[in-house]
Amino acid sequence: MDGTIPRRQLPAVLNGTATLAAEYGLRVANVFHAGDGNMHPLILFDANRPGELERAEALGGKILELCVAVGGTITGEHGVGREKINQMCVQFSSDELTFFHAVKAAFDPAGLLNPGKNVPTLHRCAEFGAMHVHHGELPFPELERF
Amino acid sequence: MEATHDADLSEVLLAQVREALAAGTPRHVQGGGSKARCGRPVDAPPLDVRGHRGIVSYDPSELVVTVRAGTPLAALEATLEAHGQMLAFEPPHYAADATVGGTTAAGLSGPRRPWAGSVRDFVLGCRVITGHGRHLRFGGQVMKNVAGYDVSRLMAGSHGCLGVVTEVSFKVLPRPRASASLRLEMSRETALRKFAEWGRQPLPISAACHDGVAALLRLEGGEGSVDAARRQLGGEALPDAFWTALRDHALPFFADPRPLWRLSAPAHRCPAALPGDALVDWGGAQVWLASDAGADAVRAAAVAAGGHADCFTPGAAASPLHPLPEALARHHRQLKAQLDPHRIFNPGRMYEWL
Repeated sequence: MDGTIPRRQLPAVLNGTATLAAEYGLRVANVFHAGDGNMHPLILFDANRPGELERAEALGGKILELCVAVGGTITGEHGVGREKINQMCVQFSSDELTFFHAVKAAFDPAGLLNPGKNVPTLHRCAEFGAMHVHHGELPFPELERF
Repeated sequence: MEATHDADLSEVLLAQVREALAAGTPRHVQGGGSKARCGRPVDAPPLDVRGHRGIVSYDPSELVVTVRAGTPLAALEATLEAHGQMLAFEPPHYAADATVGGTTAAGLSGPRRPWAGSVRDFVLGCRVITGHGRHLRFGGQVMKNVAGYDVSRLMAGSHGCLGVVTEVSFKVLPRPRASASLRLEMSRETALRKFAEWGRQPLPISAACHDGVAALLRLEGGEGSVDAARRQLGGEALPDAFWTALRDHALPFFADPRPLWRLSAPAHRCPAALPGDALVDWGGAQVWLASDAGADAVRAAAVAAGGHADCFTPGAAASPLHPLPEALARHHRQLKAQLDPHRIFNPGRMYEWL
C-alpha cells in the first residue's frame, strides 16, 4: 500500500491499521517514510488459502480509505493504475472525477490511451459504492472483480 | 473595495460564477491587480476575489499552510515569518496588494527559484470554481500525492483562464538560520562562467545575479557554511534588501522607460546580448532586458538560446506572452474548451485566441 497522511495523524493511522488488520484476520508490517507521512503497510497473506488474497485486497482498500478520512491520499508515490482505482471513488467526488475526465479529453479526445485506467468512470464508482465491503465481507464473493 | 478582515466568500464567488455562466458573460478574475502587466488586458467585468481571505489552516510542524486566494501575500508571509518559515519560491509582490491567488495564477517566482523550486513546485493542493459552476478540491495537504491528475499545479501559471482558484495549500520551509550577500565586480561573461563553476561546489548559494557591472550573490544556510563561503568568495557586503528589491522590480534598473522583457533560457545558454540594458538573474537562466529592440528580435534571441521571452510592458508587444508553437497552442485550446467551455474566465488574458 502507499497512502500518505498528515504526519500528526501517524499514531492514529497506525492504530487504525492494527484494528482493521485484526478485523480482517491478517497481519500487517508497517514500513513508512515517517517524514513525509507516506505509509507502506505490507499485508501478509497466504495465497494458497482460499479467500485470503481477496481479504488482503479488501483490507488494503480499507487502509487507503482510512488515509483519505484523516486528510490524506490513497497514493503518494505509486500512482493509481488499476489496483487502487476503486479508492479514487472515495478520495474524489463525482464532479472532481468528471473534471479529471475533461482534462484527459483535452489531451486524448478519442479516448485511445489506456481507457479505464487511472481515473474511474462514474459508472464504476456507482458499482463500487453498491459493492462496498461491510465488516470484511463482500457481497457475492464468488463474482470476479474487475 | 479591499476587504480588511478574514471571510469565507466562496459561496458568493460561486454564485457570481453561476450567474456569469447563466448570462454567458465573461468575467475578469482578479486579486490586487499587481501582475496585470504580465499578460493581456481582459475586457470583462471584474470578479474580485480579495474579500475571500484568511488562513484556513497552518500547522508549522506539518510544513503546510492552506490559505484563501484573496489573502494579501504580505499577510501570509508575515504569519509564516512569525513561525520561522517562508514561501521558498520567493514570490514577487510588485505591489503592496498582491494576493495569494494572483501569486499562484501568475506563476512567477523570485531569485531563489533555481535552488528551491517554482511556485508550481510548492502548490500541494487547491480549491477551484470551475467553468461548470462547481467548487472542487484537488491535491491536498500532504507532501506526496499522485492520485488523479495534478490539477492544482495546472492552476499555477494559468492566469485565471481555467477557473477561479479560491484556496491554495503551499508547502512551506524553515527560514535559513544565516544569510549573507556579496558583490563581486566582474564582466557578465566571467560571472556566467563563475556561476557554473560555483554550482559544482558545495556552496550555500541561494541567489545569483549580474547587474551589468558586478555579480551579486546570496548565501543562505547554517552559520558555519555561510561564513566559510563568504570567506572563500570574498567581495564586498551587499544589503540583503537587494534581493527583495530585485524580486519586486524596485531596483533603479526597472525604472528604465524602454520595454521590459523577461527572457528565460537554460542557464548555460544565456541569450546573446541585445541592444539595451540587461540584468541577469537565476544564475543565468532568467534575463531582464530593457530594450527598444523589437519583439521579433528579442524573441529570436531567446529562441536561439532554447528559451522564450515575455514582455512586461503593456502595449509594447502584440502578444506579451511568448507565442506558442501550433502543437502547444492546440493543447491550450483543448484544455480551455474542456475546462471553461463557455469562455467566462479571463478570455484573452494569456493569448488573444485563448
